[in-house]
Amino acid sequence: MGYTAMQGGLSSIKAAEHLVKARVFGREGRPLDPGEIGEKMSLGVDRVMSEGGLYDPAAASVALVQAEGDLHEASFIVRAYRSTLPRIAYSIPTDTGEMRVLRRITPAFQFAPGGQLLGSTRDYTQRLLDWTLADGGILEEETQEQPSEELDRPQFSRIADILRAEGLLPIPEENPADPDDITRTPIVFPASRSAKLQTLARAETGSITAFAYSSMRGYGTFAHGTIAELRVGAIPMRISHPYTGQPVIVGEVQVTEAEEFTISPHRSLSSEQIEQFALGYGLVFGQNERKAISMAMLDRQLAEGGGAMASQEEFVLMHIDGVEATGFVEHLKLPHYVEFQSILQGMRRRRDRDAAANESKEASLV
Amino acid sequence: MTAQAVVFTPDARQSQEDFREVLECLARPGRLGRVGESPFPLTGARHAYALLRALADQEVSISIDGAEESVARFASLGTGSRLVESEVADYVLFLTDPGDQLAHLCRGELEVPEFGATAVVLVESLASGDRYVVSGPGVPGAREFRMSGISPATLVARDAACAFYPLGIDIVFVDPGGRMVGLPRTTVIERQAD
Amino acid sequence: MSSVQELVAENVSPGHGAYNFGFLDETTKREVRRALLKAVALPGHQIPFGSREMPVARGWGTGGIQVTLSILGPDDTVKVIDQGADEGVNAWNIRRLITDTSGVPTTTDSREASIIQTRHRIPEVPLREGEVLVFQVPMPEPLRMVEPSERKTRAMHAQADYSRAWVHLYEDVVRRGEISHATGYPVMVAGRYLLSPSPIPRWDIPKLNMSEGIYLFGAGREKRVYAIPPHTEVVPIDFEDHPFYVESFAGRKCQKCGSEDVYMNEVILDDGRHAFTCSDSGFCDSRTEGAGE
Repeated sequence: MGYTAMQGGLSSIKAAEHLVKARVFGREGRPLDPGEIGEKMSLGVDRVMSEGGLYDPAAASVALVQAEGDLHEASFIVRAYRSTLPRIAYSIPTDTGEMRVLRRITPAFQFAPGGQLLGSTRDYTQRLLDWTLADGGILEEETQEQPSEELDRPQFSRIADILRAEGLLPIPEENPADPDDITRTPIVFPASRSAKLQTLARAETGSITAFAYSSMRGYGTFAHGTIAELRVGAIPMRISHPYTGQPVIVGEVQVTEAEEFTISPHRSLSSEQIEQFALGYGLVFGQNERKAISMAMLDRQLAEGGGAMASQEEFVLMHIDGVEATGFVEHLKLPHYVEFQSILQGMRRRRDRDAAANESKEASLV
Repeated sequence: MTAQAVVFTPDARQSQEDFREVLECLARPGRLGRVGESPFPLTGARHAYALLRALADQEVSISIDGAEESVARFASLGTGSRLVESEVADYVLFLTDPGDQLAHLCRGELEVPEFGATAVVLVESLASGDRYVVSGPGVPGAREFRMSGISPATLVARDAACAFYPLGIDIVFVDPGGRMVGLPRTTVIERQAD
Repeated sequence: MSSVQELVAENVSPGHGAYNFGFLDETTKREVRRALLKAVALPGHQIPFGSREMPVARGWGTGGIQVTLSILGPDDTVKVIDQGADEGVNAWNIRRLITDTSGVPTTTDSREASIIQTRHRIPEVPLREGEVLVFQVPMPEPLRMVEPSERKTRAMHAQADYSRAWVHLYEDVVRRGEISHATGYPVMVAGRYLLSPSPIPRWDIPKLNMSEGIYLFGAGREKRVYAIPPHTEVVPIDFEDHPFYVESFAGRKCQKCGSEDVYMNEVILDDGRHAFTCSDSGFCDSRTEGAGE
């Protein structure tokens, strides 16, 4: 015989779990401190919250530790955790004009009311590997000053509102309908704007950056919008009080918000209507500017439609979810020998058939 | 995870059992099944209401036909479902012979035939009465069952509602003793003379 | 009354030491159950559902798991197989999720099971009444081979317009001299809907027709469920001059139990020889046990 079927599935997966856990605990036999991860790897934590669809810095930090730094895996763990949590209440829409702004830039204007607030950004740092960090690092004196929370914050009016007052941007209509909920009802096409925005907001950062980039390089309906405003800050969350019915603040979430002006290529030539900009909108958990900008760009691309890849809603929205994409791509690691046997039989059958046919052809030629 | 506590309330368990039974009944039209009971103002409809409770919640809409407003409100509170007109309801509980009304229920659309309504119909008895023969998917050849309390007009209306498959309505008959019979839209049903 | 409230009432919360029976909350189960009832009433029609994120990866059986956990009760006996095998690592992973959150007994003998969750096989022993087979489905759309757009395939199903699937088969015959479609062979259900049976081999396709048990299909990532009720006509699409046929294991014998009339796994031994064993491990075990008695 010489063949024994593979046994011990359970002991194998338990052993694999053990090996993974050993790596999380490392040589010192203790995992990284999630508190420190939350504080010092906050951009990774923000990404996990955004892609995991759950605003919970503590859970996201633990997930990152558990996943050995794999952002996809950490987002997946957070999603699975999210689906075990009860829905206690639905929040009331927040006007992001209330944002406690930590960073705000307006590339469309050199100066705008409230001014530019550069805040914490790597944009203008030099990307030199700082080897001193490997030795405990060197902290300059000015770095030690913590930014004051009591800062006298200017009022930031929205650039979009300024253009609306000029008649160059349509005034959005109030939509009283409840938004779709893609976590409860699968998206159908054509998709509502709420379903599109939710899908984009939970998307994997790399995927939507790639789609947004493709649109800029020509695989989109228009190449290059203008960012009206990019803001990072904290916004309040309110619910209706269960007894009084009055709005009550239950917490605050940090978000990145991007608004982008575009010019529609589909304008008809009639002059009866004043030509207006259109606004693309992006809002994501935490500080994740490339995702917020990509989301705003794709919001417009999808609204505009057309044949370009980045404008096809089904193509974009069905392929940007990190948990779904990685799950299906990686399922190829599962055994497939039942299927392969069937495929193999077909290949062998056709090989034998064609070989026999060629042989008889040759024989008849002789 | 092995050490985790597992919580399964009696209510949840009853719903699970009722669901499995109605699954068998809709998969095997004409098969006599049993459904549990749930307190209800109309004693004879305790089982029919239990089936409604097993299936309906805040995510769907219901309509209660053949009873006064307070009974409908009771059902709405008990299930958490929105009370709507029967023409647009996902689930309709008929406490009396529905007759022509079946023809007015939601039948779904070609892309979403599943939006067709589910009717839970309280009948006098599924133990005795007229002899019905069903055939179609789920039935090996033909299957018979007995039922009383349903008028010929009800079957005419049901057939009209299911005339354009896949559009249609799906019915579960329940009697005061907790017997139940499923009649999905795919089933052909005929009343037989004894 | 949702389970969450009940859990809170018992002073335990999900995720911190206690799970609802079958992991899913009761609202989620009810949604899946409602979809399943419509699925049996519309044999072969795909019904969207709000597929939840499970602690198992998308594409690794989350649809089947959600179906199983939604229908599961304390009186059930569950069998879980992956590629026909009870011992597979993924089968074990799914089985322990089910048992850890429900405590139900499991079996490897398909005849003892009331619910069988499977990835890509139907057990060799025909289902009986009272048995439910739950398929894990990666791609529920049988028309995906000819049309990538969900919007368009929905319209094609609505109109029962399967002409492009037929053209696809015809082109295959022209190119390869036969219908080469291997696993997941498309079938017509009750003469109305074209259905993807999940990537089961052709060998299993005839078992779908006029079964005694209920077939439920769950696609978690694609968020669809569908069903084939018992005693329902299921026909693989083919041509008169190129009729449907199944894989052949003529002259092969299982190395373990000696069976000849079953779907087999091909294994390559250390010395390079090819050998065959039963794909259905529960069936194989029952044959070897029987021989020992």
